[in-house]
Order: sequence, then C-alpha cells, then structure tokens
Amino acid sequence: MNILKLVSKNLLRRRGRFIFTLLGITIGMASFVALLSLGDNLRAEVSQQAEDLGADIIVMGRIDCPFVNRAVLAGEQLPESIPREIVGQIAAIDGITASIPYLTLGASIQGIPITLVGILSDDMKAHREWNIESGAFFADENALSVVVGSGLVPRFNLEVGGMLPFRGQDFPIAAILQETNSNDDISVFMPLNVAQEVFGLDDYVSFIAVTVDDVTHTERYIAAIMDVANLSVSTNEELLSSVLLILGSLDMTLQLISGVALIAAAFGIINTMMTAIYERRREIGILRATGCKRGMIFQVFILESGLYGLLGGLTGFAVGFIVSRVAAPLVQQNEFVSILGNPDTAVVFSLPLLLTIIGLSVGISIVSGFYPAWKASKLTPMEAIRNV
Amino acid sequence: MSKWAIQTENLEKVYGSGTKTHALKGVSLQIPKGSFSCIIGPSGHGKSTLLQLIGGLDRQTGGRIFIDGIDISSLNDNKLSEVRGEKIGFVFQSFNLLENLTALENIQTAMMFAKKEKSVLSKRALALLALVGLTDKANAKPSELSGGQLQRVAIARSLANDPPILLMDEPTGNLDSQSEHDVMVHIKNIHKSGKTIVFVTHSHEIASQAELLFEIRDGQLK
Ligand SMILES: Nc1ncnc2c1ncn2[C@@H]1O[C@H](COP(=O)(O)OP(=O)(O)OP(=O)(O)O)[C@@H](O)[C@H]1O
Ligand SMILES: [Mg+2]
Repeated sequence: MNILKLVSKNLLRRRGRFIFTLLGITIGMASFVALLSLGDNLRAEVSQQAEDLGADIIVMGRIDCPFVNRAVLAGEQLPESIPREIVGQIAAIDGITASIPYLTLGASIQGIPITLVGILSDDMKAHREWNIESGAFFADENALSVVVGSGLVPRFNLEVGGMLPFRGQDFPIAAILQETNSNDDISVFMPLNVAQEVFGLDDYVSFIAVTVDDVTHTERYIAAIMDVANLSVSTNEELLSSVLLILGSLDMTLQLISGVALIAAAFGIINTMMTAIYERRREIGILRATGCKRGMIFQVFILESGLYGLLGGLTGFAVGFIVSRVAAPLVQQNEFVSILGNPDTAVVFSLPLLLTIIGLSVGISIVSGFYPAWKASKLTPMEAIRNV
Repeated sequence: MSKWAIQTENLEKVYGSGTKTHALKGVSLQIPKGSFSCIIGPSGHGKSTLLQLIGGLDRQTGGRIFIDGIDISSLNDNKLSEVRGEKIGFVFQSFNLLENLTALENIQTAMMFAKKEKSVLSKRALALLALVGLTDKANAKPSELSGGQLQRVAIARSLANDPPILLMDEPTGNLDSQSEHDVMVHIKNIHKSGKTIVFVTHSHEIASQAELLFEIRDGQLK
C-alpha cells in the first residue's frame, strides 16, 4: 500500500463524478490546444499567401486597412478602384520589373462562390510562372474563354472545352493550370478586357502586384509609385504584418476564450475535491487516528487533483489535437478551400507542446487542489468518531 | 523508563463554546505497562472522552497526559500524530474501516504512516489477519464482512505498527454474544503477547475479565 495506490483508488470511487470532472479539464485543455494551434496555423497560412503572391510592392485603392490587405493575400474579391493606366505608368518607372494588375471579382460555379480574376494574360503567366496542364492558354487579351486552377477541376468535374457560365454568358474552358499550391489553384482567370466588359465595369483594376530589381531599396520605389498615383502603396512585408496584427488580436480573443474554459475546469476540480473531502471526512479522521500526519492528508488530496490534471492534460491534448486537425482548415481558409482540403496546414504533433499542455494542466489542477487539500488537512481524528 | 504505560493528572475536558458540557472533571489515573484495564460507567459520563484524550485523538482543556512517560499534552500536531502511529492502536465501537479497501489493504494503509521498515510490515499484515482468524477474508471489502469479522479486522489494524498500547472503545458494543465472545478471546490473546490494553464497556460481565477496573461517574473516577 502506498499513497499513489490509495489516491488512485479514491479517484475512481465515484465514476460519474470522476468522468465529469475529467471532461471539464479535457474541454478546457482541448480548447487551449486547438485554439493555440489554430492561431499558429493562421499565421503560417497568411505568411504562405504573402509569399505566394510573389510581389515586392502592392498597390491598392486608397482604403488602407488590414481587412483589405487580408483580402489581397487570400485572393478574395476587392472593389475595382485603380485606373488601368496606372499599371503602365508604374511599369515605366526605372527599376520596376513587373506591374501586374488584378481585377478580383465575386462569381460562382454551380452555386458555390469562387473568385474570378481579370488579368493581363501574358504578363500574368510570366509573373506567376504558370504551366499549362491541358488545353491552350489565352490566344490574346480579348479571348472569350477562361483558364481554371487545377483545384477546381475535381471539385466541379471540369475539362478543357467545357462551358462555364458567368453573367449569363457561357465561356469555354481554354486551359487548366498545373498545380501551384497557391490561391491560383482555386481561381478562374479571364482576360481583363473581357472581365470588365462582362461585369459592366469601367477600366479599373482591384490591386497591382509590383516586382522590383533591387529589394533593398523598396522605399525609393514606393516613393516613385506614389508620385505617379495617389494610392495606398506598401511592401509585401508591411501587408503581411498588418494582417498578422489582426491575427494577433484574434489570437488573444481565442486564448481568452480557452482561458475562461480553463478557469471553469479549475473550479470543477475544486468543487469535486470539496465534495470528496466532505464525503470522506470520516475516513480522513480514521487515517489521522491511525497516525497519519496533516501533511500527508494534504499530499493525498494534492496528488488526487494532480492526477486529474495529468489525465485531463493527456485527454485534452488528444481531443484538442483532433479538433484542430478537423477545424483548422475550416477556420483558417474560406469555406470553399476547406472543401478541397489542405493537409499541409494541419497541426503537427510536437513533444514540447504535449509537455507544456500537461505541465499547464497539472499546474492548474494542483493550484485548484490547494484549498480543498488544506481544508482536509485541518480535519481532526475526532471526525472519525463524530461521523458514524 | 516509566513503569506506567498511561498516566493522567487532573484531566479536564469541557466541550462546546456556547452551552458547555463538563465531560471530565479532574481525572487522575495510572495504568501499568502490560495491564488489562477496563473503564466502566453509565452512558454519557465521560468514558469515551477519557479514552480519546489518552489516545491523542482530541485535546484536553486541563491537566496532563503521559504516554510511556511522554507528556503528549505538550506535543504539536505532527508529534502527536507520530505518537498515535507508533505507540497507540485504536479500536472503535463502529469499526471505522475504509469502505473501499479490502481487509488486507485496511491494515496496510495503517502501516503507511509508520517510520518502520516497509518489507517487515507488509509481511505483518497477513500475519495479523491470521492472528484474528481471517486469512481467508484478506481480499474481502468491509461490506462483505459480518460485525464480528469487521471488529477483528479493526483489531488487526490496531496492531499494524506493533504499538505497545491498545485503546478500545466498546469493541463489542455492536456485536451479538457469540461474536463478542470471539472478539474477547482475540483481545485476551493479544494482551498475553505483552500489550497494554484499555477498553471501555457497559457490560459488567466483560468488565469482570479485566485486571484493573476504573469506574467513572459524572466525569470523575469513583
Ligand atoms: N464532541 C462533543 N461535543 C460536545 N459534547 C460532547 C462531545 N462528545 C461528548 N460530549 C458530551 O460529553 C459527555 C461525555 O460523553 P462520552 O461520549 O464521553 O460518554 P460515554 O461515557 O462514552 O457514553 P456512552 O456510554 O454512551 O458512549 C456527554 O454528556 C456528551 O454529551
Ligand atoms: Mg462512549
């Protein structure tokens, strides 16, 4: 007989209560794990998108806010707000190697929302380093056809020569791109002229991706672009950090939520321990009568709540791990992308994370056990006699 | 070395803070080592109170108690717990076994608190069950045992750390006459092995088996 055996026997005495208390810690820790890795995944995802964009400088409409920046990175629809002639003016600046316009439009295929991008086809193809999986790329800037990303093909059963209707007009699929592992895979492309005409828009674009020959002097180029057009101009890094900033506050909110779950779990433990001690006060008296010291009673109950923490940390990690795998793609990307699945962004198992979670769980549980254990250690041997 | 296992000097106990009960009013007694003593008296006159104070389960409000020459009144809670664990075994009228542990585990649990060699003690647990004739009930839970068997397990537990003194508060109070007889046989055998035994009873028949008789009336020795 040793303390650990005594404690584990006590732990399992009220199975229902044991399970519910454990569930409380599990949920608390699981939400912590899931939200923790969700935050990390969101950051990784956004950074990846910024890299995919392959631009050194981004020129956007005059509204400069993190949500616009996020839309640029995620390839989501943005209002057309930049006159097309600006594209050429920027390209003419010394040292600028490419000036690529994007007209991002909201559209749908079979009722599911997708992004339709109006492009200058040759510039875009060179800039994005696209390869053609099948079919033939746009013949000219006025071709009445579309090119689709590879991710859309299995989703909608597309094939070269098939028709896609936009704004009441059918467009043959001219080509399917090879996989790029970027937003391009889930976009439909159309020559800029055609897109503007079909959607009844003036000669404007949503944003311009710019590359330069010397990235150490982006400040100089930004100033030059600002001279040409009174627009919002920022580097890719600035764009990224502004988006990461909103993610940071999102992260905080998520962690606050899991913090509340953890506090609730801690009170669950306190409650369970107080009840257990009330039920067992006669037994505590018996132990004290047979020579058990106060310190050992304290140890017994701290160990009991610590065991809750250990078990809850393990189950919480497991549940949180699974939940984050299921939920991460749903949350970090738009609804449509999650359907395609993106296994690269799922949570990876890490031993330091596991140890941190268990340490946190055990720590919280032990702290929660302090007051009940102290109460228990105050009971006298007379409890054994009084509570017959 | 004291020749007394237990000594009390003017022991007083007042219960309660509002309405006070003066349960012991100056009890002085000496109990020699190796003796078999009985405390007898009417209900509510302070027998249990006296035994609980001697056993260090509760604190007196006046007077002093010596166990094996040690003044336990002056000990702090930790030291007192040590004395309880090493010098005293307790048997209660209501058995007081831990319900979720087997007979054997109950005895082993009591051994956890002693500063004695663990390997010696764990062999003792089975030997103690054999001593009270319950080897076959080692793995039985308290709910599976009769009153007489429960009290025999409790007696075996009181011997767990081989204490020199055993205090028993109406050990046969909840038992039928056959079980009472069985239990008394075991208690007398244990006494013969050299233990100092003090027990409380209502029964004059049982009291007559004791070597020393202390009669208590209204909190005082008669
Ligand atoms: N914890 C307590 N708080 C208050 N009063 C108590 C307490 N324990 C005992 N008493 C009172 O002290 C007196 C002596 O009680 P005690 O239990 O010592 O009697 P007893 O002789 O053992 O009786 P019995 O034969 O019924 O067991 C009684 O009047 C009782 O009501
Ligand atoms: Mg009594």
